[in-house]
Amino acid sequence: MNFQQLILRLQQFWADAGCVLQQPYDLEVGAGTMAPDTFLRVLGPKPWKVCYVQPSRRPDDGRYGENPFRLEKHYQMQIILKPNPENTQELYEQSLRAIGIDLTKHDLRYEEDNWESPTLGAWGVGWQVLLDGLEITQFTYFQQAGGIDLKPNCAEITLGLERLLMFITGVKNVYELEWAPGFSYGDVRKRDEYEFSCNYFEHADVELHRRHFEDWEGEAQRLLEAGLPLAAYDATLKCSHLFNVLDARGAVSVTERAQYIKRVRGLALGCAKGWLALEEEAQS
Amino acid sequence: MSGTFDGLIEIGAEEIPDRFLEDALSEIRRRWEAAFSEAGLSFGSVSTCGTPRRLTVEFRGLQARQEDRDEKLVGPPVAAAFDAEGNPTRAAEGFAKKCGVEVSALERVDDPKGERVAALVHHPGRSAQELIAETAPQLYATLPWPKNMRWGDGTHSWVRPVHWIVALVAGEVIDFELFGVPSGRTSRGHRTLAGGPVEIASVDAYHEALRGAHVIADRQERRRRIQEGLEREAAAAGGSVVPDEALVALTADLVEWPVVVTGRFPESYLEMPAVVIRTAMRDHQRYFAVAGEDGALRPCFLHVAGQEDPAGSIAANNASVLVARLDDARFVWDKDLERTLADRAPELERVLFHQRLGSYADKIARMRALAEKLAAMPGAAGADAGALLKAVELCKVDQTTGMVKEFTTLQGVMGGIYLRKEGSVPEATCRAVEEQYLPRFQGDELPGSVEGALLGVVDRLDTLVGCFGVGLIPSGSKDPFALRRAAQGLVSILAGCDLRLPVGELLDAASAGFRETAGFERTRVGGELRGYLEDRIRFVLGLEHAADAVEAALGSSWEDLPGLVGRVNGLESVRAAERREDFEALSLAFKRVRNILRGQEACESRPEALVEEAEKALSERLGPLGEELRGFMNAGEYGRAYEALAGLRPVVDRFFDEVLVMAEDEALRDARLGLLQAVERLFLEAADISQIVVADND
Repeated sequence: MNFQQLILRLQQFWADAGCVLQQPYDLEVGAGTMAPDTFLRVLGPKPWKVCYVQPSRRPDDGRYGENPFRLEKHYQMQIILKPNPENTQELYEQSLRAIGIDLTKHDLRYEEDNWESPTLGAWGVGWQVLLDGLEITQFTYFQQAGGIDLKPNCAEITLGLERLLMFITGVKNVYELEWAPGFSYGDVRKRDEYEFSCNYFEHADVELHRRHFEDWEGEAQRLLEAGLPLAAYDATLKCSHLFNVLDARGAVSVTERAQYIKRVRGLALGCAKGWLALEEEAQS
Repeated sequence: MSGTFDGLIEIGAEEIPDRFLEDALSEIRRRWEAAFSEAGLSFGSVSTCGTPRRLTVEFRGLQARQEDRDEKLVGPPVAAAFDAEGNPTRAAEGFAKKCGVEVSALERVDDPKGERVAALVHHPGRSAQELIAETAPQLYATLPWPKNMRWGDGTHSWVRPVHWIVALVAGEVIDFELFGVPSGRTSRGHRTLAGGPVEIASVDAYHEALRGAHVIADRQERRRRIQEGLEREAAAAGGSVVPDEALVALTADLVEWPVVVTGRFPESYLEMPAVVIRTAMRDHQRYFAVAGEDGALRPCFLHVAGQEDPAGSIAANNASVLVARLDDARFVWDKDLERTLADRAPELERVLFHQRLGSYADKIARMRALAEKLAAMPGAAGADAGALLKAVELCKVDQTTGMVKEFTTLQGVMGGIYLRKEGSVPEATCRAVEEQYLPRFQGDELPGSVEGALLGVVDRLDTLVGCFGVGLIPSGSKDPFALRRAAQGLVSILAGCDLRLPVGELLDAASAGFRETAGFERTRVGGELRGYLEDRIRFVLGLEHAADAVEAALGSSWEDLPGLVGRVNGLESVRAAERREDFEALSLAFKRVRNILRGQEACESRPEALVEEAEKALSERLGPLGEELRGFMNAGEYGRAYEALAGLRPVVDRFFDEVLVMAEDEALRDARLGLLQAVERLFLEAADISQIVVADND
């Protein structure tokens, strides 16, 4: 199996399970959870089932393309089942069988791991799922998003696609994975790992990023006041990424760091509230 | 009595965190025992077992049915119950109806207020099945979990979603529901190995039925299997397992079918410090280490898998995960070694200690000033001040290293390792940095070097004084900054490492570092923090000493903690020795002294105004006794000090036999009160022995 076959099979499985096949969100996000298809859609009473691949940027994890496991950008497959069905775990296990993993021969284990994102005012209860000791999935029952209690609750299943494929194929270096016949993961991605590591650690213009943070923060607030939470959330995501870059660049002091996180959180909470109000309005 | 029977209830859920299992099972057992006792049902035993996916309780010899019970209810007066013709009134009919008996069955009873009607009501005993079905839903739904969750439509809140319930008594299903899941006799086996549902015929068939589905329900049996597996695999690998009982217990609660497998990694990783390798194995992966006869680690690990591994692929895959981690650790190790800790020190400005208390660089600056003051105290004599100050400068720098970011439990330890490898600071500095977090938990080892002990004191003092000073005070179970552990560590080090550093001076010296901190209030240090420390002392010493001896010693002074421990030991030794009787009698007399003096104003000591022989004798004895006491205490011979004190018993007894303190004559009374106040002052220098609990007999 190669990288794109893995994605195709998982998408097929979750589409058959009734999910909307969404495409990656077109902004820099740190995780699939931050895409509005998760963060906003888990709020409110409406059912939602979605599956998408989300390129996730973690500037601080950049290793110039030299580390066989760590990447500045990796691909997550994100599945939201709202409300989560009674057989959520069984569905998840079937999805593993669908990509050829024989669970009678491999040790599948659910170990407690409660996910929390202070920046998003979000938390959940669940597990990291280990397959023969390798963490392949974060499995979370969301409890709160944007500081708001969720009802109904949903399951979030997040798969690290590179790791999963390394497990299946036994390839020990991410860049040697086959993406498509004749193309390795390295062919497709290595140069950008190098460049973005250089950028985030050495070149990113600190003043510009600071300025843009201020700008987008103002924009987010203005859009919130205009009653456009989706647009405001885009501006919030930009702030979040700008902060991550500043942080990786080593440009954020102790006190500033807490302040930046608080500011992004404030915006995220505003967006959640605004979106929920729209949802409830539509419902009534 | 209609006999007894056995039963079982298994609640099947999604994977429950291992750390919750022990408490949940004992609470379930406690609740069932209480429920049966309350219902008047006798039982042979209630026991529990469980796995991450099931919480099971087994009842043995449970009384099948409550005893029938007759109850006599008293109703209205006979005069109101029957009319003149002797016919029952509506009052009588109403009462009979309420009691469920015929009017004709009403009796007459004598009552202090006159004759009344009464009814004998028969309560038939209820069956255990009925009671269990009625009790179970509430019993389980209200189990107190450390962290609950909601799922699905969000109606229910429990540790994890519930999927099945087996409830059998005498082989019959007991009907109830929990969160909409009905009880039955169908259980589930191993998540991936069981062929299908598992029917449970009876409690006796339970364990075997599950075993057939690759589940060992008994926790002790899983632990035994793991222990045996570890020993077998380690021997096969040419070594022995590095003992780790806590990890055995933990892994036993992570799997339903434990199988120990051996994985290997390249020997070259063993060039890294053993503690790094062991942490990489244990922290996330929960692997056991294997050591050779020489104590050195072998290039292999033992893993508790949840199923058999005939093809060896589980072991091999786990090995790849570990190798990736070790590879990362080696990358980080090499990277860390590129710069010295001294070079990294300025980075502490960017590491937050606490928003209100500044960065770690700020903390180090405070600790430096504090360490200088401490090193100059007589109680710190013998410490290498230079090595200590160097250790203060470098003690937190390892937080900026990749290794500590990766394995936070190695903070301090890595600092010591890196400094030793750099070779530019004295060994005492390396050791102090390494030992600064000891004791990491109550009962853990203490720092072995005086510099390590002092560094630990300085660090904890700064944290405690800073947090309390700005109002970050732990309350109840809320202790986000682990101040309880810091306070207990401080007490344990001062007392256990024999550091005679006056607590008041330490608190003052530490407070000075926060002069410019916004919102810092010194009164909280003298008030709340002192009280908190006193409580922690009570707790720590109370683990090893009699509570009344601790209380008596605290009643004198706890400025000098080794001295306080000496007092407690002295009190315990004098109580165990031949002077015991005198000492206990004296403590009763001292209680009397304190009672008499309660609420009295201070009176001048005027020995010349005393008239009786008995009081003169007491007065004359005080001076020499004081000298003697202080002499012993300064020499640390507290036992002898208390023996000397006990020697005062006949003098005090005679005083109370012959002297009436509250004399009519005001001047004489004041002189006697003055004398007793002098006695009180002298005793309190040694201990408040009125706190000593004297046994009634023997």
